[in-house]
Amino acid sequence: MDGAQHDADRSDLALLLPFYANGTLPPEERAAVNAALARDPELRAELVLVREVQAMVRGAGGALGVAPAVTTQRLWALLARL
Amino acid sequence: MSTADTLKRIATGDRVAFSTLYTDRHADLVRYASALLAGDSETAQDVVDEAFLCVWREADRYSGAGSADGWIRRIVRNKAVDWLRCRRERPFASDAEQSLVERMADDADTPAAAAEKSCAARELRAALQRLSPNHREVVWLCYFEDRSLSDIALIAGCPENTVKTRLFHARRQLRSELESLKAS
Repeated sequence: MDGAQHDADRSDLALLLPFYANGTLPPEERAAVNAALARDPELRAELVLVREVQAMVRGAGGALGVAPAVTTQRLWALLARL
Repeated sequence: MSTADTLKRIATGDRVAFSTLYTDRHADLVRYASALLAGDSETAQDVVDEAFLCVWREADRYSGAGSADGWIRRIVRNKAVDWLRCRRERPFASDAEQSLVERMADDADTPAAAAEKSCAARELRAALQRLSPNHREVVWLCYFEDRSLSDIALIAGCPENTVKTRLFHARRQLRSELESLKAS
């Protein structure tokens, strides 16, 4: 594989890393990412970054996506508008 | 009962089905809308209520193709985007936005032992808020809700490649924010 092709493949796989990290990647693509991670230290470094961002979002994101408890009053108000 | 079946009942005018859907999905959808709106949970509740009115009126338009949950989220998303567009047209912060700022300021009053951690969490939250709404949305759906690429593309209404590149650019931006935090 030439260098340009290798870089292109790495870029494609790097774009899949968020879905590798959240466990939703289909088995075939997951296997491809696993194989690339085993041979590519730069991709492994990128995965470390992805996991850092994942932890950051899960930690700080809880405060960003606040959901107040649903109130019966609010539901009744909405039903009155139907 | 699946969400798709509930939508079919709502399309027939079933208020019980509507109430059930509202009660079951309200919290998730408000969290999602709140993330789109940079943490403004009060506006997020209004946005979700408007979206539910739209679901009531248009449930019969759900064709069954694609996830019913994704269809509902698209409506919530569109309502949130409408609100953001309106906000751009008015220069002053709403009460809810001001409240968000005040809540963030209140966080600084925690005990000294927690101050450093609180400060870091606040900075991280602020970093997420600085992302564009499109980037914040995909980051939220991927990293917080653990949704698949195809799900996010459906909800965001864009091609899968666009989802991937939005996540990539958001990661780059967040990385620089993380590096600044580590350096400080």
